[in-house]
Amino acid sequence: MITLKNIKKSFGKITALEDINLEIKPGEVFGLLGLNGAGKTTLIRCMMKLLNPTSGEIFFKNRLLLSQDIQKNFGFLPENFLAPANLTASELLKILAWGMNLKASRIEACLGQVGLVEQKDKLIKAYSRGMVQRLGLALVLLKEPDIIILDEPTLGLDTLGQAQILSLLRELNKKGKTIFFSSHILAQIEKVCHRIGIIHQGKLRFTGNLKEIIHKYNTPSLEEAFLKEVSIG
Amino acid sequence: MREIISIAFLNFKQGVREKLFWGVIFFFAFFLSLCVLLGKLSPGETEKVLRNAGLSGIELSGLVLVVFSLVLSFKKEEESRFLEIYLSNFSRTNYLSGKLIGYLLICLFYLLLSGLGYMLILFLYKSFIWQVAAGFYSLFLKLSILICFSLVFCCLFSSPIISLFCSLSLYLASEAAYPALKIVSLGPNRFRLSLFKFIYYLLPNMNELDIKSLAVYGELPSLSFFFSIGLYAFVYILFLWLIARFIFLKKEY
Repeated sequence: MITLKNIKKSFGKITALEDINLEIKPGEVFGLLGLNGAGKTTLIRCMMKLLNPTSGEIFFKNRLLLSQDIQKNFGFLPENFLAPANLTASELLKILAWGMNLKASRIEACLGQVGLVEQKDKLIKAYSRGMVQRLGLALVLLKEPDIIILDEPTLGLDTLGQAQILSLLRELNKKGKTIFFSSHILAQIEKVCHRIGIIHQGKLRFTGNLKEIIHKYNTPSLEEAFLKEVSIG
Repeated sequence: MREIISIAFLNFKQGVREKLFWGVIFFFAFFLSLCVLLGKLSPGETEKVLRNAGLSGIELSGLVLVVFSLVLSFKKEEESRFLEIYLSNFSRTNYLSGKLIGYLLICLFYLLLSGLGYMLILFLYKSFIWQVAAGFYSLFLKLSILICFSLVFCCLFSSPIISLFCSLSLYLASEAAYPALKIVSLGPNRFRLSLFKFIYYLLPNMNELDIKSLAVYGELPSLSFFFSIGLYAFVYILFLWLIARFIFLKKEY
């Protein structure tokens, strides 16, 4: 569905991504694992065309990815996102849905999916971190995208909040959505992802499923395999 | 078009709910009460002082509102990553157009509110003449050009402080360009004169757009003048929007 070929991104003399080759298949949940500063967010931003790769190409359904593809098919939740504080969730979604020419019923459906129906008329500034994150997910789901890209979706959430988001991701995947998300929390990746990618120092060091990585390093857990992977080189 | 309207409306709604907006309204109300006091201290000229100082107050507070509100909210949207949500749903051109229209609406709403307060005071002090309403037209044009400049600076610089500084400096420079040219033209230095002429023609002609002083005396230029300054402002805004768009399309987030 999405294919990244030889993606390289440099900021001056610093190389943030180097020779990234990756394919995300339709209907899968792909988890991108990496330490802080490994290049996860940079890679996602390249995929969302927020950054232009220094070299390499990104394909969507076997043709070059265009901004229109993103606007039509991609739902994106950035890391540490904050919504406009002096609006209510309901107002925000209504105006955006109108702009995207979506049915008003989508708003209630999205708020229901993320469990924000009762708080929809509260100002966003009164929301907790978890509620803001759930609102972000509602924004992502609003246009019913085929591909959902989430950058550290559970960052700053408590255990319950994390579990709710992971359960929502599983639910969305059952409905056929392709999900790509980054995290540095191994347990989350283990729980929901069909395939895993490990990025370290801007290089994609491994892609495969959980069994493959555990087999590759002959370790009992993903954590140990991950630590082995990132400690090489 | 729907996309642009929704971004503009969202921007407007956010803007008028900001503390800054109501802070500026409060500042203007305070300024207006000072104008009343100033008018009472100028026997014989009370009406003109009230009209003139009031319009100047609206311009000053409007300037603070549009520059600060625009720069701070634009940068806040970048930092809060909400911009990325926008860009994953709307094209960059539509986003920028929506933002511009949203800021113009905020400016218009502010002029409407402050104008109503100002005219009410003029009525109460029997100083109202309908010509002052025309002064708002020129104020809106001046502030609209400034909004566009701020938008260009926000797209160009990542620092809000630099964007703020450039916007305010540009306003001061364009206000001072005409008197500066007059002074320089008295001197013998041809190079300096050419340089100042270049700056004068490059910067927006705020001097020509300003009809405050005429309005307070109840004198107004012809209708064609209003049309020509409107056209001038529109072309200038369009030109600045194209520059902002060019920068914004290339910008990485």
